Amino acid sequence: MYRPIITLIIALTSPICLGAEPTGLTLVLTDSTTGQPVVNAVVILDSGTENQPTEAEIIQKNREFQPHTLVIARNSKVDFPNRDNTQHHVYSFSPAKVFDLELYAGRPEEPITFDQTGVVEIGCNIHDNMQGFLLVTDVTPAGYTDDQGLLDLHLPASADGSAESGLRVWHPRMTDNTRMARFTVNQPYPEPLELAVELSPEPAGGDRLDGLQKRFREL
Amino acid sequence: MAVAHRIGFRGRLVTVMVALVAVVSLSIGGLLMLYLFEDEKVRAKEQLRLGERVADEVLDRRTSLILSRLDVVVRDFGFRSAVASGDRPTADSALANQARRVGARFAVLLDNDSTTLAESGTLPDQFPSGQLLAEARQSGYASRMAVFEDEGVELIAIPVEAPGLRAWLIAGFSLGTELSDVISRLSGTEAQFRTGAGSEASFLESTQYFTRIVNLTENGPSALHLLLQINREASLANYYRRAVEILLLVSTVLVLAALIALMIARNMGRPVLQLADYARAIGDGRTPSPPPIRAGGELAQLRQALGDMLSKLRDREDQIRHAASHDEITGLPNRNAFLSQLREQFSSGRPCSLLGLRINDLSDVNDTLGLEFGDKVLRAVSARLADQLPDMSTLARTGGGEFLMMTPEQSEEELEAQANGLRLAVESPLMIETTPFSLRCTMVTLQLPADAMNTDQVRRRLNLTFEQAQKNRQAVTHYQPGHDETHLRELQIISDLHAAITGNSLHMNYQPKLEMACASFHQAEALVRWIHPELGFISPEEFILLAEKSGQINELTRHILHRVAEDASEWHAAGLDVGVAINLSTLDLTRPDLPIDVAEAFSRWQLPMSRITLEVTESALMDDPEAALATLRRLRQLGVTLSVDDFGTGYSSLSQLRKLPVQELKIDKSFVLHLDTEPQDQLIVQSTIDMAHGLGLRVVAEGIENLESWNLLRDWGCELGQGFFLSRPVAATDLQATEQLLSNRQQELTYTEVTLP
Repeated sequence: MYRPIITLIIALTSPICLGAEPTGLTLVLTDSTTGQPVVNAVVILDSGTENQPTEAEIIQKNREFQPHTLVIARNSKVDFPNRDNTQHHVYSFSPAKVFDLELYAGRPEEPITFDQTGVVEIGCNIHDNMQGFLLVTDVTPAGYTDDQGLLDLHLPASADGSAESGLRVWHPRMTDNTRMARFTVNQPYPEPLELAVELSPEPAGGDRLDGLQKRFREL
Repeated sequence: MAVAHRIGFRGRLVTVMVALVAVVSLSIGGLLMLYLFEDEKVRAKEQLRLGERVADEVLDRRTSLILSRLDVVVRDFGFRSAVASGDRPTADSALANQARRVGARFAVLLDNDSTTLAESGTLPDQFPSGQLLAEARQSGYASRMAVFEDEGVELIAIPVEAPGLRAWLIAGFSLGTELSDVISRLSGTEAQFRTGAGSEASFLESTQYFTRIVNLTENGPSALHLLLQINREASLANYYRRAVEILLLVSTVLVLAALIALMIARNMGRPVLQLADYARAIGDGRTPSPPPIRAGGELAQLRQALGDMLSKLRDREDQIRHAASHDEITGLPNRNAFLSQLREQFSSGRPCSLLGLRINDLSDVNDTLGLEFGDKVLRAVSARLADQLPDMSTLARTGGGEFLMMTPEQSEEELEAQANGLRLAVESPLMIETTPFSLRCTMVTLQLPADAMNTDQVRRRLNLTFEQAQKNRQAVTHYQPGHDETHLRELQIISDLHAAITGNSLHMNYQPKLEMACASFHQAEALVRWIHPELGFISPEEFILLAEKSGQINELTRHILHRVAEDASEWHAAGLDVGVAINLSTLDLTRPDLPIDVAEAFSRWQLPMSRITLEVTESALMDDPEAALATLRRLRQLGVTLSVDDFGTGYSSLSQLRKLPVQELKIDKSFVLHLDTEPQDQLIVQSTIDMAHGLGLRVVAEGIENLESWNLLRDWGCELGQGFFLSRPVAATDLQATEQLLSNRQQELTYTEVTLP
């Protein structure tokens, strides 16, 4: 199981040399299991600009959470309006924010404030297939990888060339999608910067149990 | 015998049939049992394979069922909430509750880092969570069999996925008897879970069970197996029951086969035995009627053949009997038939008369006129005899030209008359093929049982009488009583003589011959004596004659020659200067080997050969003069003295005497015994001496009985004297004493009475 190396960085105490120009480079993100480019992955640099709390909403329509993934700043308020003709029971057990919106139709009584950074996975207790993610961060994401898994980045650099910068990557199909994968890159930065995360294969659709039972039938 | 045959035949048939049936039925039965046995095994294997498939299916369905249940459990919101609450007791109780719902023995909830979030029940010590989770991540769930505390447990891992909740639920389910019972029920085998070291073999066969072992875990010291067993008791019992049935069937078939064989044997055997009895009766000479045989074919043929055999046997027996008891030329009974009639006559004890007729010179008739003619003569003779004989008499041809007749008892005169009548009838001229022909015949008569007591005597006495009749040329001869006894005595002497010679039981005596001029003991004449153990003293005349008749004379002479030579060598060794004189038989002279025998016997003779005198009778010289002369010449060449014995009794021609190479004449004692009183004898003896001296021969006188005779002979110039007056014959051992006695009488014997002129 791919485990990102966690390096404890206290950003406030890290010396930032203002004199140096940030280095531009291209991040290439691939799936470590298949070698395919990882498309539409969120990349967040430690050196990124601070994110301001906002108000957002994730609607339930056609038994789906829209948007599927929402990146928000800490302390943002998120509302979960129900646009379906069925009730939903939206909840999350993620440590970053455990909440439980009992069955409702229309709009819940009040939006939920996400006061911890982290990945919050949301689901519906009635519809197992419904899944959504909220990425609560303090930093504005640097961007999303394109169809080739590429993203141009500007990493901080120091004059003496000893800078190191942390970056986090997240994709909903990462095998451990409960947190962001964390990388530390040292100067001189490689060009392109090749990083890899482990993805689960795309669900073929259908119920998990049906797959199991199908396998037993074949025995 | 018959029983043995019966048992033998039936026994063989029964044995063969029963053995055949036994071999066939036992082979079939054995094969059947083998196939049954193999079949049972194959069926058991098939059933066990089925059992294994059923067990796999059951286990898979159970796993599937448990998975479904667990899937429901991990989706339960309350459960998820309890887990997500982070409150351990709450989580534990929720897990325990769910584990009870799904019937898990134990359950544990792990997060991604394998940290325990909740647990229920007692977890086993060694818990392969890592492997299980790896497998579960791969395929979404995992299930494996394991052994905990010697008990089979199925471990199932299933992910717990809720928004924001990532965990793994691992639950253990006992593989208990309910499950194995289900498998047993479905597969018809006895299923049970077993832990322990597994065996390599997947199929085991023991006396009680067929066993299939299905390994549910990897093999190891504590592996889990599913044992599928089929109890063989029922099928074996079945098998044995069938074996017993087959054996019963085989036994029944065998008994039936034996019964059928017995019946066949009886049906075949009875006629065979009847035929055997029939054949035996035929063999015993009876004339049985053939047994009734219903069955046709070979047995009927056999009966037919036996019947034919019987009639042919009868015919051939009749032929043989007739041939054996009849003469084929005349058709009369033959010798055997006549003798058996004679035997019956003897055993009946009735007296009867016997006549015998022999045609003289039948062999001449055969030789000159041919055998056929001779046969016709015989037939004519037999016809005439049959005509002449009264009824109640028996006629038989018993040999070449010999006919025997038995008539009822008659007196001597009647018998003689009848014999003469028969002889005349036979001798009267015959017409044979228009040839007038007359023959001579010899007749003998015997009165039975006066003249003979049994058939042997009859045969012997008939022959004797015929011989006598031919010798005496009598027409009719009656048997003389006693004649046969003499004949028997002669036979005995002849037969015992050889033994006497080889057994050295003949005695030699020696009678001295004296030189008459000086009365000195000059020579001893060897005289043979035989004391027969049964017949007593047998005179030399008698047995020497018989030895000549029976051709033993050469042997006897050779024996005597050797004996005399031995005795003489003994007395010569004792200093006695005495020669020997030995009598030769007529037949000895005709034998060219005689001189060789003499030379051989006297090869160690110490005196001059002229002191051996061989005495030959006059008659011997006259019988075959040429042969005798040749032998005498050769004897003379040896140097022995030859003497003519018994001179004056044979009709020897003096001219013949002149030619003979003899040196001595021995005057026969008949002229000497009464010489002193018979003037005729004196004349004969004196002239004989003169004649012999004229021919240059010496003279020996024997039978000198008194001094007067001795003196007369001495005066006439006779050279040698011998007689009882001088000495009787004595044994060789007494010669010495005899010589002494004779020398004592020398004066007496040489004394000459002076007669006055």
